[in-house]
Amino acid sequence: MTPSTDPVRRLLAAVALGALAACSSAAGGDDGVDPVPTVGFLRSVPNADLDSYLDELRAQGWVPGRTVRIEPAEGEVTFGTEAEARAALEAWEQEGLAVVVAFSTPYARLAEEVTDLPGLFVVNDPVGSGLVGDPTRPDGQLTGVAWDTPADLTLDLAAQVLGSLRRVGYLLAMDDPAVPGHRDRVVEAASHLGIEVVDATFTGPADVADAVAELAAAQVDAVFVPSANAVIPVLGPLEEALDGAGLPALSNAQFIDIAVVTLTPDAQELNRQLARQTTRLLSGVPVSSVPTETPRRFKVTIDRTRARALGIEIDPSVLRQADVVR
Amino acid sequence: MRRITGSLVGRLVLITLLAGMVTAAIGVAAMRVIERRQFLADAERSSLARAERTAIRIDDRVKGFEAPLRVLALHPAVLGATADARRELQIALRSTDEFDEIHLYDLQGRMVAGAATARLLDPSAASVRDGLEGALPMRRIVVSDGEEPALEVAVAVEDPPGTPVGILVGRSPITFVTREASIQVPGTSEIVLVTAEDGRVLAHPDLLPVLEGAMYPLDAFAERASVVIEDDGEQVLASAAPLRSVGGWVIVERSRADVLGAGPAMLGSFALVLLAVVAAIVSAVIVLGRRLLQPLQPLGVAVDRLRSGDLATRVRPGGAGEVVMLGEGFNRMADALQEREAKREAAERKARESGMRLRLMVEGVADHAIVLLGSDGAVRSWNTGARRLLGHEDADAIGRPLTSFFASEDGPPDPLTRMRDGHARVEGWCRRGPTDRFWAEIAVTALGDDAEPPDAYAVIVHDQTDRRRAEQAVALALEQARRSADELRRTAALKDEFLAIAAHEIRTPLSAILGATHLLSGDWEDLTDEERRHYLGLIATFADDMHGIAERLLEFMRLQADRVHLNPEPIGLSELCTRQLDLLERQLEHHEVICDIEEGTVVIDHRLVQHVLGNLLSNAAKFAPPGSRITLSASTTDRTLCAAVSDEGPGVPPEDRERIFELFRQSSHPQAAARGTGVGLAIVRRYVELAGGEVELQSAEGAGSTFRVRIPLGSPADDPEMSLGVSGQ
Repeated sequence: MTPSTDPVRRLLAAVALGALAACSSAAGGDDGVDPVPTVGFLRSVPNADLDSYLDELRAQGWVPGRTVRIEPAEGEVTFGTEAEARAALEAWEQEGLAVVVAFSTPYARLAEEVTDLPGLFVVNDPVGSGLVGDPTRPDGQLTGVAWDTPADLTLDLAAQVLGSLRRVGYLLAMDDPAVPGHRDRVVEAASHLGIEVVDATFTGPADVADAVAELAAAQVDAVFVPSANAVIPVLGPLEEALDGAGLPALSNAQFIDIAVVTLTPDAQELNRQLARQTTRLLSGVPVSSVPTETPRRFKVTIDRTRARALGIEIDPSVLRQADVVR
Repeated sequence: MRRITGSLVGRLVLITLLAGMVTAAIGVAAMRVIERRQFLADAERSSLARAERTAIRIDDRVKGFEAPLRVLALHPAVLGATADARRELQIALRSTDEFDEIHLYDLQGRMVAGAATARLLDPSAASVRDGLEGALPMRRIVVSDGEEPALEVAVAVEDPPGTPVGILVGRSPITFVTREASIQVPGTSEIVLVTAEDGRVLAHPDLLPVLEGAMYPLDAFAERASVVIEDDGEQVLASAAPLRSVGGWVIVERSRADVLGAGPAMLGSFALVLLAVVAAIVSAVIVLGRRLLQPLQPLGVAVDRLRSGDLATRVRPGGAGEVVMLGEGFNRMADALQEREAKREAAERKARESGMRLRLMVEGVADHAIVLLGSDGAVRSWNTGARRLLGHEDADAIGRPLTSFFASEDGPPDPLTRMRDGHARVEGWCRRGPTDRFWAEIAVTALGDDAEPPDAYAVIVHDQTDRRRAEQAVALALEQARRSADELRRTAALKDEFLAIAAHEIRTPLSAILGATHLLSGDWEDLTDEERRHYLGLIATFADDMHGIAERLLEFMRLQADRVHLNPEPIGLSELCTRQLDLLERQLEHHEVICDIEEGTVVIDHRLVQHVLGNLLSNAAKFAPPGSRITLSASTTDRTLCAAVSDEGPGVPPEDRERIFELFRQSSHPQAAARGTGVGLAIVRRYVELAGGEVELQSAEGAGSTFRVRIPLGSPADDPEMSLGVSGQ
């Protein structure tokens, strides 16, 4: 008996082929399996509140590791340079990248440059940096959350901590696109509060001390160190310069841990906002339908130790306003 | 066997496959319909449940917003309702997630202090709010164009309790509502949105409709909590649940296409399962079919060998129980076939021998013709006896109808028309050769199935001529004996009758004679001569009567015994009548006799005329009253003597007109018994009939009677043997 002449085997083969065809038809896909979408994080500093992002993803019905893949999976992993970020971005694209989340203006621009995929950003000034025109209707491929802290609240809080605040220096990182917009809002808020703003520009660790010295010479009561990638490499010299000058620092970023007063967006809530926006994009909602949001809740950190080192005694009622007292 | 096995398994597989595919197709179609309904119903239920759950969660959160405000309202800094409360408000704002702004108003609606998470509030810049006091505690959604809606919760600040001093208002972006609304099941189009009571969208997964103040068509839910609505040309399943804490609706939307779109995938799985089931069934059919049919292979070979004549073939039963039974059954069948074949061969051998003996026996039968007829009655074959008996050679006889051998007039009937229950027996004269005849006894038996017309007939012809002739001789002898016996019986009867008549007729005159004789012999001396002559005359008269009676009786007896011989002789008719009148002169002396007699000569027996006319005239003289007329007429016509005697007597009643011609039968008329003997008219009829004539009576009661006789006349010269008067012998 040969296979070609056995009607039973021919029938079996036909049934098998039919079953395979039915399987293929039933799957209805090209390769039969939908790829798990990947969300790639481009960040230069660790994200200590990544769990909040993941929890919100789960709350929204997306299960990390099953229905969505997060890269890098660990919140501590960062990309210190644009080259590293670009390489990672290109690698993720090969693995089914669906949404990119950029945690700085340069990386947001990098995302726009490298890929056409929709993305989210966490930047100081999305409008000012040109990432979006109308925050309610983003016209590009990116939307996200503005790392926007209320400057008036920061200055008011600083005044309460320091006792008074008449002049504040603003440390302006050269060529950092995230800074100018923030600086403008600080200047505007200061003017409402009757506070003078003095600018000092630096380009890197080498001249940041000069900038601080410049501000000290201007007799500022405090120095506002804004959140920017350019600040990260100068934190060491900056701390020495500020301590040397006896100037307390104000900041809007948690990683700038040399500040006495820090008013920063609630990172957990911001991660949740990002997660909700991510799920919208993962569901296929166009970027233009996901307005750029601003932080809704903020955290106040007061470094009482550093304040005491500077000879500043803080009223307990002021300390009670802080979320974190160091 | 392989081909058979393959064919059976193939058919089983094909039938199973076709049945499975048809079942699968029907099942998929039915499932498609059921699933569509089920999907819609399930989606409706799940959407409605989600809307309810979301509304409940939002309501719970909203209700929880009052508690921190009430606690804050008890703070001394707040109870003062002054600007000093700002820091406490700020602290409270940090310690709670519910609000992003807290405002403290005095009873006039002026903001005295305020704190916000995202801005620095200037109470002096805030507008005065009216109507807060009357609605406390209060929860409401505040909507401003271009901004996200906010939830406001207000409680009274009382110092002491019961005495309002201010109003504490907490304001919260409805982030928590938006968060609930943005939760979405991956891979579905389901969204949750929240509207105010007027339909304004308060929360939506996409912030844009909220910011633009989009309105939702709440009218669609007027009758049902779940409806299908059109949204940008797409059908959307929408389910709504009321938001009771602040007024409004939680709406869950899901694309109808998305709901039904889940069907094909599930149907695909279902179809896949069906195909798998079909494939499994087909495989099971193949395996079971082969396992079942494999043991049948030796059985098929054995069947082929059995068919080719090898009756000694047997199989060794094996396989499943039914197959073992089949093998055992085959062996039993082969045993039976072998035994039956042996019996058949023995029967055939015996039949051949019997046939041979039968043919020899049939051929050896010489005194019986054994003929085989076809269904058409024609001779197919016959034996030696047939050739001898029917006198024909085979060439002349084969193909001829059997009836062609029958005599044309007195031959037997066609036996094939007399068949009863497959048999017939007829007799008749048959022809033997061109001239000879023989009496044939023919027995026919139909050959063939009883239910069908016979195919042939077996005929046995036996020559029974000798028996026939013997039977005829016996019959003739019997007839002669019967006639002799009848004659003897008639003679004896006549004798008895004669003796009876004689005794009866003679007794009366003899008694008279005896009386007269006794009287004469006893009283001779006392009698006178005249008396003696009278009595002697009586004796003579009665003796004459006795003589006449005796003569008539003897004459009648002779007539009855056919011992009367007519002797016609020529005589003149007038002379013949006159002689008779003379003989009866004494009896007719009291009547007027009128004669009308034709002249001429007739040839007739004289005594016949004498007896006929004498009795008729005597009879008329007895019954006609004296003095009446008696008429005698005689004539001839066409060689017939016609004579008639008429009287004027009482006549004969109609009922007696036939019986008076019988012996001793008289008319019922009172005079008849007294005057007649009942013999005369019987003699008349007998004589007339003896001569070949006839007698008739015309009578009218009270008007006389006329007896007419017509007697053929003869001529001795023509044919003496046939002339009148020749006896019947």
